[in-house]
Amino acid sequence: MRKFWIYILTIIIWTEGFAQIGQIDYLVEDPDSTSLIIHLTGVNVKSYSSSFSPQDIFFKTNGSNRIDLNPVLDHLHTQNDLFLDLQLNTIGATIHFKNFQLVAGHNLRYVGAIQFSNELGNLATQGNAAFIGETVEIGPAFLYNHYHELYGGVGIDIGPFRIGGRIKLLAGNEYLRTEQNQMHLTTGAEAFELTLESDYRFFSSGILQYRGIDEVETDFDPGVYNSFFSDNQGIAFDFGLQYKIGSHLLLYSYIQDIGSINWTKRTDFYTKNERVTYQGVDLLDYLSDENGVSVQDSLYGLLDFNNEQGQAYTDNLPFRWNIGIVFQLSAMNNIEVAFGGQNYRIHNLLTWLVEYRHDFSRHLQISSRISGFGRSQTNVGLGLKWSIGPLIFTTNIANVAGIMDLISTRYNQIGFGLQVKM
Amino acid sequence: MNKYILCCLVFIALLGCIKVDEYRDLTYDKEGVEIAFPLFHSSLNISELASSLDAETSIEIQENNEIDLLYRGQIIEGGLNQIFPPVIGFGDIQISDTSFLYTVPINFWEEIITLTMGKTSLTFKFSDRFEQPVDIILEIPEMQLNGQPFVQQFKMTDGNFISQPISVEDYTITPDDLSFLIKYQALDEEGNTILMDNASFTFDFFQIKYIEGIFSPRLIDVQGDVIQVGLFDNWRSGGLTFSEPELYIRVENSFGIQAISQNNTINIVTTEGELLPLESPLLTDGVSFNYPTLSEIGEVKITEFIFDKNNSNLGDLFSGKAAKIEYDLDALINNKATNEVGFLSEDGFFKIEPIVRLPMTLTVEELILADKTDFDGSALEDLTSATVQWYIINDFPVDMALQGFLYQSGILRDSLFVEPLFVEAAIINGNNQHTPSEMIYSESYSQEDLLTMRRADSIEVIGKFNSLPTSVSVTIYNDYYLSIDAGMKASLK
Repeated sequence: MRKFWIYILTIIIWTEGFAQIGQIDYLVEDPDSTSLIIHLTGVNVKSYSSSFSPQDIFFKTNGSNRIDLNPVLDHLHTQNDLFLDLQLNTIGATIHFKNFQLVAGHNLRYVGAIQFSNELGNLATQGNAAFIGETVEIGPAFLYNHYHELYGGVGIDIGPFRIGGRIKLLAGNEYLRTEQNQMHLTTGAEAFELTLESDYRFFSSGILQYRGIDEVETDFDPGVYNSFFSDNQGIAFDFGLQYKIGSHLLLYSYIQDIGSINWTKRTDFYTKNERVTYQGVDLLDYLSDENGVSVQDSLYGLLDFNNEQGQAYTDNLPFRWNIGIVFQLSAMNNIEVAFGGQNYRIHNLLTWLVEYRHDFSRHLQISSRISGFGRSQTNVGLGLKWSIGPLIFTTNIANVAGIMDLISTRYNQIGFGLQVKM
Repeated sequence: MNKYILCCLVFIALLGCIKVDEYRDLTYDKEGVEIAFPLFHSSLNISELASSLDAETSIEIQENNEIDLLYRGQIIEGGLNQIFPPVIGFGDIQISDTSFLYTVPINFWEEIITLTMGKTSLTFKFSDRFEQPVDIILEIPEMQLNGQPFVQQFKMTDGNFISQPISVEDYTITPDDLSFLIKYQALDEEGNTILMDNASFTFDFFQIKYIEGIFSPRLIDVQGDVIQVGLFDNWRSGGLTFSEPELYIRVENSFGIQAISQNNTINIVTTEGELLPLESPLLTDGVSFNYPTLSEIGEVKITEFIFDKNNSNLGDLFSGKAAKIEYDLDALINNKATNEVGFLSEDGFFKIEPIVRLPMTLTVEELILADKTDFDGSALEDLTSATVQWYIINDFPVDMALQGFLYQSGILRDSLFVEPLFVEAAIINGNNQHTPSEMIYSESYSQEDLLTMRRADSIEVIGKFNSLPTSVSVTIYNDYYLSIDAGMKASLK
């Protein structure tokens, strides 16, 4: 049965390729009076790298594929961000009445983010021999959050205002996050003694077992149905508000994913809060120990962490907010300006957008936009909303130039969705 | 369900005209990565060195911070049973008359004043050819417990009688001229005194708890032993001359007998196997051991004697790379044949502890020490080149030159340094003011050198040491130290 649903969902994705991008923006839609919109499966993917694109570091030589950070060292910022945000909308529905709307559905969310210093990048590329006698910051921050959300919501029109909110029941599948990521490595000038000063703490639920730098086990499982009702329970809310000024101007703001998940399943806290200096194997131990003392083993001991298992951990979701204004230039044209932020628990990014929309007919709307995301350059994007009978196909691409070669882009966001309007 | 995710990604990838498979099996490019890490460290002062020594070797720090190196030999201990082993009872001792004088079965006594029995049991046997009932009363008047003589009554019914073993532990015997009387009275049914056809006794062990008297002169063989001196285990050539070497012998004794050492031999065996006899008046004349008097029973008396360069040729012998010291000491009891009353007791003991003491005031001249140990170079596999950096601080007033040789199956393959690593001595001023010498030295190794190292299975480390000037002794203080740290810079494959 499970394979059947996989097949159906795959067919939908392949043959129809839709998304419910509009679903998250339902508060700013202005549907006709009473109607039912079914949101079929869709996908929204957002990827971002603050300093380099995959193509900058991926190389193919002599038949082997390799990663080389050397070409991008000069482009690294003091702190560098990478993330991938994937939302799979499995199913949903919105009922529009005259003065209010109801919405319900299910999403699957994946968020992965890493932040690392340029010093860590240099260290990984050149080795610590380039930093003899110096101290470098090496502690990366990371986040991986994989969870289900079942949501239900309502939007109510009160005069020029429309107020909306959603409540989401969350079921966490996997989680990994640094709570503290201070870690400094000093390489001594005389005999290269290594001093590691750490205030580092990270949490894992069901994804990582760390028993030493040479004994790391990961159990990454991106499955859709796994842990649908897991022990890791949570709740979150979305809130939105829009205000019509006259017939041509609309102001809106919303904030999403205000909530948390209590992680209780296969939990591990890893902590290292100490200053350790490794001077190599004690020569006397080496000469007197018949079993031999391994330099490698002793060196790896520098990165041992204290591990507390079975301790519950509650953490907030990554959240985002937006404020914007929509100005109707004419019956067929309007323009939208928006400013927002995305919090990925380990870093915050700001976004902006200017979008122009033109209705070619009742059935076809095409939009063009320029937008910015974090440190990315200004991106030129396109959007499409196309109705055929009861079907509404929507798509938008934040970086049209990059869509032809995703590997060469530092930022992109692509969404597809299909709605059926009853 | 992973296929679902994959399909989504493939869909996006197709739209972007991406050939995802071109980026499969990615490996991290380590070319140009050079890592630096510490290999080993050691900071040795004499106290830290002492903690790593074996149980027989130790270091004693004097009040003025000078240090003595001590090598201890096995402690030789003995109790009463080692000096006078219990006499084993063999066969029946006939009681030839109703009153029989028995001589105490212990030798080497001129006179026994009193004797307390240990765990000894007596068994008495009687027989009579008329097989008539006989009542027997046996008495040993000189063997008493709490003032009461040893008396036993037996009843013989069928002409033969063997008693159960009767313990005489704690009975005190006051023999007359080393003998004591055993009497018995046998009465038949009519009350007539009869002489038994056969009367005898046996004992398992004649064991004593305490004995007091005049000892005959007697030589006791005390089994000797060996002091291992590990100082020259790794000696290769050159000299190390101690200014004041000592062989110290401490004797503890709680037996109340006068004794002197005799037939003493002490030999120093060099690293080359040469046997050098120690010569000293202490050996030829002997040393009298202290002992407690009758009023000091239970006390332990200590005798110490020292062989040094003033009363022996020990200083000369130690210049010859002593590897071990063999010693054998005997004790002659009552060598003066006096009538002094002495004693032995069950809880008495003697203990002989020999120690070689080497005060660390010495001259070092072209001393070369070497040690060979296993070497595992497998960790060098991922390296294309390496530089080893040495950081050495020498606070000892001794020049050092270090070298290491790598062997594969016993065949010399390479050396660690192109030239031996020379470390200057610390500068010593008056009042033990010292300034350590400090050096950083780097040696680079090519991939070919590393391959040779990887194949090596053993390493011989050789050190050459000189105190300067060689004619003047230097004193090693406890706060002197030698710090050797090494780190490696290596390029990864």
